[in-house]
Amino acid sequence: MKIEKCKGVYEPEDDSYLMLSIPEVKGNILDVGCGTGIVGIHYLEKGNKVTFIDIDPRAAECTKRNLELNKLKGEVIISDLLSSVRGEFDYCLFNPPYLPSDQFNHIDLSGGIVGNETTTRFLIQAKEKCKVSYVIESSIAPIDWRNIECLCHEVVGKITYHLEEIRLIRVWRCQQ
Amino acid sequence: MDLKYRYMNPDLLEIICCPVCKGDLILRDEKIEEGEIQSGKLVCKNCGREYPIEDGIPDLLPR
Repeated sequence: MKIEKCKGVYEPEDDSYLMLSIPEVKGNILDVGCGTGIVGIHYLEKGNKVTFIDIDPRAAECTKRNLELNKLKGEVIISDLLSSVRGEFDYCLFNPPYLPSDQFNHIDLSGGIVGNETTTRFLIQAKEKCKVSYVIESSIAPIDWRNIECLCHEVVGKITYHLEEIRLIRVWRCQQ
Repeated sequence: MDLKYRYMNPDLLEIICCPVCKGDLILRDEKIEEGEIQSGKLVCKNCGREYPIEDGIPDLLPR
């Protein structure tokens, strides 16, 4: 897989790599907040169907360029999370911006004042549209599960980065 | 570069909707290259809002 970085677009980091190689991820996949496209392209290479979403047009262009570079076909949409998609996906993958905005006020890094707001919005939408989701959470701004009803979750991977813990979380509907 | 990798597949219309009212989107003013949509606009059948498609990427942000 070849991935080119693009100006203003989140460069693949340890949290991106945590999203790769999740064994069960197969089928009809949504890569939300796709950035360079690294996560979705990884699963596209394995023969899955992947649709890419990002709110930032520079990221959407960047993903498209990386798809061309890898000679792969995936659809790219500029959208605010899942607000403009319908239907149900087997897996939704979201490496969100999760830092508090007073520390990092940039769209690819900050997830709101506390930092977890974008993730909360995603999970509320994902309940309807995603059979299973995988999201990244930081110990700096953990997800407040009290705001999210009817979804079960478990930590399935983690890495420590200085004083911060980055967790990969599997999320599914409690009543399947 | 092979064109088939570059633009929007018309099948995508089945899984996208108006982000504001969730209505169906209709393709207008489209420029098609080898069966794929290079540019055009998507108009909501329900509320009439328009969303551009440029370089094969639909921009579905409300404005």
